[in-house]
This record gives sequence, structure tokens and C-alpha cells, in this order.
Amino acid sequence: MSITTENNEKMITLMSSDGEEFVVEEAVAAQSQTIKHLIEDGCSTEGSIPLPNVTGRVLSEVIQYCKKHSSSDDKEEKELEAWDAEFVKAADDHVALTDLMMAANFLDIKGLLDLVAQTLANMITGKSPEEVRRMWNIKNDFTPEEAEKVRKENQWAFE
Amino acid sequence: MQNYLWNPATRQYRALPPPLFTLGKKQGVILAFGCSDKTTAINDCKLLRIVVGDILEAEISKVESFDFDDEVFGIVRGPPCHVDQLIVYKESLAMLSSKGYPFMSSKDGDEIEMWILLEKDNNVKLFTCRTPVSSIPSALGNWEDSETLVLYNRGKGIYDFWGKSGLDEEGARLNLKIEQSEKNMAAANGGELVKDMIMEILLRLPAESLLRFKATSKQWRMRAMMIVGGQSCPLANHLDLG
Repeated sequence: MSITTENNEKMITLMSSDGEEFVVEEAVAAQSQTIKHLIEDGCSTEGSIPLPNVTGRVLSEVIQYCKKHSSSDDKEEKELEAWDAEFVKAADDHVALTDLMMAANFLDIKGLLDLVAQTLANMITGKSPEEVRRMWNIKNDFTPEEAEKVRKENQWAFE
Repeated sequence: MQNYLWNPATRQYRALPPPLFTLGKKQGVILAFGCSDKTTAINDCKLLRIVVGDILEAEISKVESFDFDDEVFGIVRGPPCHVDQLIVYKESLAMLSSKGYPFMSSKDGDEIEMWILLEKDNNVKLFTCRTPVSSIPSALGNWEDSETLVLYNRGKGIYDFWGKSGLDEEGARLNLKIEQSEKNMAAANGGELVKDMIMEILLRLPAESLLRFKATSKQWRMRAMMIVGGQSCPLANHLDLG
């Protein structure tokens, strides 16, 4: 029987798009399915795993999440939920959350993607389409006629 | 020089009209197909023609597009460098340019730049990839929505632009170095949501908000409609019956 301690846990180096290196335990990094597959394919043997889509700032947040979620077991579910709530609160605004969501998607960390997408969904639930456009620089690409058609559709939906 | 369009299915061909402009005597032409996101019509295809001036004379290229939908020709300014290939990246037109070729090639390989057309006449450089070999690569295409861009060098190997992996002709791993212009990456995303992410958010909205956000943009509308009209269980996830 083997006992894994902090000392003999295999370490993995992750490199962000801006060249920052993070050394983490393999079990923490493997919370990301993308990284897990890269490790399985032997891509980590030559040193660090490059993550060209994730900046150091975002990666450090992602690692924080992965550390917490790899060290907690099911019994601590309540505590973990509270921790998640604090975690997204600390991310502060929708731009940081959007970055985090894209990283979670690229790194394939389902729990984190769920958490951040739900936070953003809650954030916009009561907002108008115009407010949402401003949040993400979305262009209103409807012609006046089309906009009218969409408006009528929605009227119908709530009759 | 005359370009032809040929349809292998119907065995018909058509000559393309000459470009709307010339760039010196030794200009070259690159052709590509693409689809406009203006409408969701399936047949709304565009033919793009990029005219490249003599590398020694002209430092600039122009892109000519033809919209099959309204049959209008358009010209946009290309990136300030020699363009080798047109590709589609994140639903935008992007151009690959091998910087040094053929005059400044070194045996360590070339720098391949990717330029993306953000809006008309506004190109930004997104990535520079130092390739392991020196010659013009061909982009074979995107895999999984831009996460992998496969490049191929005849006789030299096949590799991914993003540097995740590469194999030479003998099957040995190639090492690539990628520099991402982070500022430009942010500009390309513009704080914007890539399309998969729109879906992730819409799926988690209550029904009323979901329907309201159909008015945000065409992209949002299309995805909201997919959820509302989804075969699995229309609206079921989105009606609060409690």
C-alpha cells in the first residue's frame, strides 16, 4: 500500500501565456481535463506545460480553485460551497469572471465553468439587452425591422 | 493572370473578373472561401481574393471580397506584410504571414505571424510562432473551433500553430515557441464572449431572461432559440414550476 504525502507527490510546472511559471502537484493540475490528457500523453516530461490561452493572473486564480477542490472531499460540501461563493466574489467584476470562464472552458474544469457561468448568468438575469451589450461590447446587429420583429415575438411570449 | 472557379460536382467553371486593383507588376493572388455571419442563410458564402504585391516593392497587401448575397465587391486593407494564407479564426478573417521568407530565413526556422481582421481596415497581429523549419507552411485548417491550427510544411513536418505539438517527417516531436500578443488578444476578444460562452450563460438563465436576451444580438438570438426550441425538453429547464 502506498501512502501519498506532500513530499513524494509528483510536481508539474504550468506556464502561462505571459511566461509565468506555476509549480503544482499533479493531482491539483489534473483537475483540468485538458492538462490531465497532456500529462497522460507525456507532454510534461520535457519540463513545463505551456498554456498559450491563459494569462498568469487568471491561471493563479484557476490554481487556487483546483487546490481547494482537490484537497476537499464530499463531506465538506457545505464548506466548499461557501468557499466557491467567496471565490467568485473575489473575482470582482464581469470582465475578470469572463476571463476565468474562458480559462475554465479551455482547461476543461467542469466545476469551475459551472460556477463562473452561473455567477455571470445571475449577474445579468435582471438586466436589459442593452446593459448586456455594454458589458461585453456586443454590437446590436439587428436592422430596425428585425428589432421590431424580435420585440413582437417577445410580446407574444409573455401573453 | 486569370483565375477560375470550378465546381467538381457539376463540372462547370467560371472565370473570375480581374482584381479591382493592381499592386505592381509581380503581384500574386491568393483565393479563399468564407461565410458571412450577416445572415444565417447557408448559401451566404464569400469568395475572398488577396492580392499580394511584389515583396520587394510593396509592403502592403489588400483583400478583395465578393459577397454572393448582395453581389457586391469590397476591398479591405491587408496587414502590413506579405500574406501567405487566409484562414478563419474565431469567426474573423485571419492571415498567416511567414515573416522572413524567403530572404531572411535562418536554419532555425521562420517566424509565422497571424494577423486578424477585427473590423474593416483594422488588422492586428495576434500571434507570432517560431516554426522549426524554414519555408512557407500551409494551414490545413482549424480543429475544434480554433484551438488547433494545423500547419504543414512539405517534407518538413506537420505541427500545430499554438505549439501544443508537432511531428517531423520521422515522427519525432518538434519544439515550437509561441509568443502571443496579449494586448491584441484582449482586443480580439474585446472583453467579448466567444460563442460557446454565450451558450454556457444562456443555459443557466431563467426563462424570462432567456427570452428577453434574444434581443441582444443575432448571435444571442440564435442560441436562445436553440435552447427554447431544443428537442430534448423545450423550456423545461427554464420554467420555474415550483
